[in-house]
Amino acid sequence: MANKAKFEDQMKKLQDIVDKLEKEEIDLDESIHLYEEGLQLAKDLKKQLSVFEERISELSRDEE
Amino acid sequence: MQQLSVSSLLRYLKNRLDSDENLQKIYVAGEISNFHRHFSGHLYFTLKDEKASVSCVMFKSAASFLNFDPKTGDKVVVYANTSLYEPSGQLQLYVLKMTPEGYGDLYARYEALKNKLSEEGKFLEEHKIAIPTVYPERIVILVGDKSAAMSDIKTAFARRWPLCQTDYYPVLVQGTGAPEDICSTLKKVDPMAYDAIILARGGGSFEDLFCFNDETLVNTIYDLNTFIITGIGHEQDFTLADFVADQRAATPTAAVELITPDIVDVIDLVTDYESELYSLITSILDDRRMRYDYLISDMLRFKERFLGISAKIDHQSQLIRNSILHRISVYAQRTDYDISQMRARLNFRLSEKQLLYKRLFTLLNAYSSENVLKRGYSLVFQDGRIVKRKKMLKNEEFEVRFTDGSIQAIERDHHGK
Repeated sequence: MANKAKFEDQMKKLQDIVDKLEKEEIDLDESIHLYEEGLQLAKDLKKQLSVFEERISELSRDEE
Repeated sequence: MQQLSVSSLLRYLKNRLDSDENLQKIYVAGEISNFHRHFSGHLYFTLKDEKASVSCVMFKSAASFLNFDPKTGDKVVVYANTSLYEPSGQLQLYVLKMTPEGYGDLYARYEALKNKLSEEGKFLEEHKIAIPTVYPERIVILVGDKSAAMSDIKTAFARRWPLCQTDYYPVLVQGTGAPEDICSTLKKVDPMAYDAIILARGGGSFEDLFCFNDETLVNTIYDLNTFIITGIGHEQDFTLADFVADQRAATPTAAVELITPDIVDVIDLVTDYESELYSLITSILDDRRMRYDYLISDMLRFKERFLGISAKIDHQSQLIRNSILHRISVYAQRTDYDISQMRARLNFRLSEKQLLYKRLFTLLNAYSSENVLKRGYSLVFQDGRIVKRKKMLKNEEFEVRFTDGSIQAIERDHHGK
């Protein structure tokens, strides 16, 4: 069996946070905390992705 | 003697042939003669060897799958059903597949092995595993070194999911030794905890791809603990490796596409999550603010009520004070009245005493005048009062009192005033 993918874990966590904020009744402190955590996760994920996205657009520019 | 019609005889024979398993789905080898391609697309030919011949038909539906162009003189193997063509009473092979000789041999081996492995349950869905992650991060690729398939795969990864670590293990993908090479590489990478294995090869002929129809390879793939996807040849090519793999892709590029997400979609997804997070936290904050506002207005209402009560208390205490003051003033008034009463009473008493004194004083005076009379003097009265001087007389009538009584007298010589 393959090891648990880190990217997948982060995506899952982000999704969980969104679900939690959406469905559960949580106090304000915790929801702000979750929001911060979710935002940080989204930021990290996008950072990981954007590095490659830039490379892709560079590559497709080179092809033209 | 029973008579049969020709039709019923041939019908009977046809039924016998059609129901005989030894005559259905059989491989027959021979040489093509009298080859004829009908304009409808059906193929008509005779299959013969040194001693015998049989007429054959291959319908357009089956002929369209042919990998080669058959012609008179070709040595071939046909896969066919035996039947009878009633109108001519002719024995006929209805050809389903046809391969050149040798090739046909391979095909027969393929079919036989496929049946065997299938019976062993090697291709059952229940033995297949799913890829462990939607976002694979480590994938190993078994592919021909510097092959078109390898560059296709590299391009696909770069385009779709460049986050993934890709390790390439060049393997032989054709000819003898290929199955052994692939098997040993698979066994090597299986314990290395990859998210997935890709076994790929570009297009080729049936013979080219035949190394993927190896029994040992099928068993090795079957025993893998790692998810494996195959992308061998083109859409129409099915090797036994494809059947046993956890997933089969039509081409090497398709294999990559099936097990990776598109980075553009993932970026969109994360962006969606991001904006969802924002709208969620905003709505939570709005909700809390609303609740806070309610709370404040509740508190204000409570305060108002409290103020109302306090005002009432103030009012009550004012009333109490007023009533006390009133009572005090009432008492005060009453006291004033009492005092005046007392004073009045006192005055009354005082005047009583004064009268008494006056009377006593008068009596005293009287007594003193009695003594005068006793001493021989007399007193003149007019209208009850003593006349001390002549001038005091108002008229000629007066009274003279003596000690033993009085007389009424009239002045003779009264001149008046």
